[in-house]
Amino acid sequence: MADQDILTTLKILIIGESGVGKSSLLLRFTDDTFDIEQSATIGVDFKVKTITVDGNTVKLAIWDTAGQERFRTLTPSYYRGAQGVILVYDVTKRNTFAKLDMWLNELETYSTRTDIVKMLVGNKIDKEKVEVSREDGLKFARRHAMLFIEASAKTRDGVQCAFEELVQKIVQTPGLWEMDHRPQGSFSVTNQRDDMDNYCSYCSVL
Amino acid sequence: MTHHSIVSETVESPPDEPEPSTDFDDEEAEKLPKALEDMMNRENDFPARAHCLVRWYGLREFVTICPSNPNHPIMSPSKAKLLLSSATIAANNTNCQVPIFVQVLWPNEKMYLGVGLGSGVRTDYDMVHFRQAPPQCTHLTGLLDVFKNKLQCCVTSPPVLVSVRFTYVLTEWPHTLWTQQPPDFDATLTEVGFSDLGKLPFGALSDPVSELHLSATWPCVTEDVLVDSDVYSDLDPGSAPLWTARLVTSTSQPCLLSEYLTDFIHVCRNNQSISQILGPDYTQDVDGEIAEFSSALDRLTEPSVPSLSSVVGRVRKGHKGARKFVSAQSGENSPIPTDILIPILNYLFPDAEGDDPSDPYPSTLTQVPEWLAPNGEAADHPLKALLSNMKSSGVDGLVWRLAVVLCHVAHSLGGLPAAAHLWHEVILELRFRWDHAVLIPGVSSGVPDLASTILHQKFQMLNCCINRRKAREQSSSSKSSNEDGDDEDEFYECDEDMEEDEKSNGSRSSWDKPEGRIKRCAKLRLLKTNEPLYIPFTQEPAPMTEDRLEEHAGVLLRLGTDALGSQLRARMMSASLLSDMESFKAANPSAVLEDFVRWYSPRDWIEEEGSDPNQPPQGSLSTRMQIPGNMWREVWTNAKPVPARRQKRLFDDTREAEQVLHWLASLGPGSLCCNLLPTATHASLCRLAEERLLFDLPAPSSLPQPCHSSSLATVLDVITQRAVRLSRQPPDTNKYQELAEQIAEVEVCVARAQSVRHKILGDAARAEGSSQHLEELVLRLLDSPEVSLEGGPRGPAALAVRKLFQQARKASLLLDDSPQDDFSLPEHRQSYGNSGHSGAVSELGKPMGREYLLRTLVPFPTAYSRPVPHRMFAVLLPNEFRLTGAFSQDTTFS
Repeated sequence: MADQDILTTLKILIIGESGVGKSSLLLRFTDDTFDIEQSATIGVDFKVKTITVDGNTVKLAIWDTAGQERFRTLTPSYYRGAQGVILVYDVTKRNTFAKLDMWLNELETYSTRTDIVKMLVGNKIDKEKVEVSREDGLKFARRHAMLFIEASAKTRDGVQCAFEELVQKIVQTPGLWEMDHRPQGSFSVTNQRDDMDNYCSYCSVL
Repeated sequence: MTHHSIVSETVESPPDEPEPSTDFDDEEAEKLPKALEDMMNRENDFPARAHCLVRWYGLREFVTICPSNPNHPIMSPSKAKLLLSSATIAANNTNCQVPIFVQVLWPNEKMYLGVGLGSGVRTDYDMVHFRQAPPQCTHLTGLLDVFKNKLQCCVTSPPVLVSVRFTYVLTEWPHTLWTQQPPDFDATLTEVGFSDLGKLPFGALSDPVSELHLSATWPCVTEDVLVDSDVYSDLDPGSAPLWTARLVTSTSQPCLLSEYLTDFIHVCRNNQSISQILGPDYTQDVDGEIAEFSSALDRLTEPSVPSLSSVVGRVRKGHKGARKFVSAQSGENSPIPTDILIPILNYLFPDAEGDDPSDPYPSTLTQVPEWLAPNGEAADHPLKALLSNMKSSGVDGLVWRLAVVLCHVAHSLGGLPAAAHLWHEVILELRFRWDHAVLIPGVSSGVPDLASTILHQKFQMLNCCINRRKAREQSSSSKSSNEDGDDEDEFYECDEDMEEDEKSNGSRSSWDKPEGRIKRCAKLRLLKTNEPLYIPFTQEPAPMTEDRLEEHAGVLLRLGTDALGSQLRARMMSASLLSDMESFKAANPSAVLEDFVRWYSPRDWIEEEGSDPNQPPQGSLSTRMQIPGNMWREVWTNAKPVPARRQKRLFDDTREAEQVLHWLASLGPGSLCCNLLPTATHASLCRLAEERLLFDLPAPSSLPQPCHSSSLATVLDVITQRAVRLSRQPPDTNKYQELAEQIAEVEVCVARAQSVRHKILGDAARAEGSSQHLEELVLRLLDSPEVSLEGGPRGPAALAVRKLFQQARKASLLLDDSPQDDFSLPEHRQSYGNSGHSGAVSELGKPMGREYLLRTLVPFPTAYSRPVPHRMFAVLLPNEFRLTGAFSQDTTFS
């Protein structure tokens, strides 16, 4: 893909409790692989992938973070400038769902923008022992104005969709990614004045 | 003969009129051309704002032909005739009914010759233009004679319809002198103190409203109703049925706020360093400065002496650089004199003034200033939601004050050299504070806030360093008695108290005695020994400013996305993991990786159910932790039991602080201002919002309505949105310049409104319940080009306008009298004015402009021709007389 075809580069974060499958989701999305022995992320890692959504080709730099509490003093510095975030929980572990509020809080504190697009992903739906229902996830997502999908990095279910919908929403959000090239809603003062001069007797007789 | 001079043809249609429809029915073929209808249409008599041809001929659609180069006008009558006849032929051939005009003579004379064809009628548009009006043309009677002579019409013809308008001009505002303070900053600074320092100025430098025009109009009456000759006239403005008022505003009005901002942006465009601007005397000693530890706490313990001299003394004795400054100062060379510099520095660093500074920083920094609703209650700032996304720094914090002060400096205290000088002094002060471990005031606490500007982050970083250093020095001084502090600086120090631990573990051999414990980790016990599991003191991760973070992320990115890159990244990131593992090992000497994981990543420990709580639990690591050679295991193997305080520091405050100071010192005043641009804009927007009047005003017609809304507040919103967007991008002075121009536009509007309000409402503007209709009048005057005064000459609006004229007249008559005497007069005059017309004439003075419009419908050129419209328009100004005529002739029955 030639560089000039790329609309923009977006920074996407993946956050959530440790062991919910953040790195596996990412690997499934970027390399379409799944490794049951995916090692625990230390600090942050990232992958790059170019995708086309609605005819717009965007490059994604996806930052994968470690979920351990101790790393939480380290990872938020990499939240800076992200336009989208994927917040992951494990549908088979209720406590990973219960911690979502904390993660949102974290995001609010450290992300440098307030209009960041958020996607909630319930991972590991391939497993049988489900502790968090789809409705619960959906309700939470609604309450916090997030996108929502259930997925399985193992079976591929919903993974592609999660990233695509997120990107779609980001591209549609004005002011989130475009630079101030020709700003919408801006107005030029100078031209107008020239026009007025042409109305030679603009102010009555005098 | 060539047509070299013809280039532009523009179809002009008056702004308010929709494009006339062009379809032409056969049935209506006999109808007069549109142009002639317009000529006779009374609706278009005295347009508020239009092309001069609209005014003179009442046309709504026409074509003008003008020379492309205004310096080569069409001077010869023959060429003009040629052009006009060519146009006539063209119009004939194309059946064009739109009148065509040729501009002749110099453009500023506005001379046009024109012709219009259609429906068997030819109309010639002609005009004469003199400096002085011929005597017979100075009154209605004379003009009527001219008109009738031209048409050679008999007395029995239908009467001529006459419209007259007299315009009176008010240019003097004796009772409302322009109150804007001149920006004499030096005077206010040295005499009054520095109360103005923290505020950006606002408003127009001179009165943005230059004239008020009052027009008395007699619209369309028959010729015999009005008498106006050289000896008698009953054209008394007081009896005119229609009064209209119009404001004339000065163009390109300089306004203080936008001028300051523009000058600030001007400084931004410079990319010289301080020493390039000010010479080698102002070189910063970035590397060679040796901290004077002996006096480290002097300033903290020093009794506060709030006098300025002590501050000067403090600055001078503090560091080498300042002494250099003083020496330069002695030669009177420094751009900012000391007596001005000291208040500025005190304003930026108020804690240096002593315990009771005159301008302390707010305790918490917010994105918008406090806002009071009209009823005096605290409310949300109107820009709060928008500005919360602004990458700037808190209101009235150090960065904010620096931006505001630099605006003053750039505008009125010497520009670029002065900015360089001030920045030099600020850097010296910052270095002094680092050297003496004194926190920088007016900066948000905590680690660098990435949502603020880089400058603010750097200050925060410096404060982080100062805090770490203070903590380090405190603990080293408190423990120096029982520890050999030879290489203190090399190690991280924690404020732990280990004596208890030492006692409880007295039996252990010294090499593996536990160190650096905070507390027990719940009820967890070590797997092997069943001892309690302790949480260790750990090192805080290094705070980073966004530029360092970017560098760091850049390094991570460069490692690539393959497996090797991931592994290298993990290795880089593992420094903090290693540090934590070493601390853990030190606190729990007999721990294994499983114990560490139970504390650090509990979900990776899978415990078997039903184990005895008093026995070491049974379980295993998760599969991912069991992968042979995985990073966690590897790091664990390499970790030595070292408590955090003896580990190599992850955060080297000395090095970081020096880096920050170096970064700051390497900023020239231009780059400094570039970094302050978002904050300066932020401050300007908040300054605009302080003008409450803004929120009542309509958007000016000079600005295209940005979002189909007509209030000035929405214009401010749009500007703010753009500022927020720009604040997140690398500073671009051109874009900020555009923004400054937009801010200027809003500022002019507000200043104009203030001026008009002040004039019309006078002191009542401040009084409660000032009359509603006058407020409305103010808004309408600002909003529309021309306002018809409700109730004519006797309406309340007219009274207010009359009052202004009376005051001006009175003042011009009694030049030497003190103006206070006149306060009772307006009412007096008003009653007088109402009682008799003669008084009203004098109260408005002589009309500056008189316009007479005559028109009729008579057969021409012969008595048996069709009646065709004719129109004559005369304008009489003090130094100009123009008579324009549109005379038609029936080409069929001639």
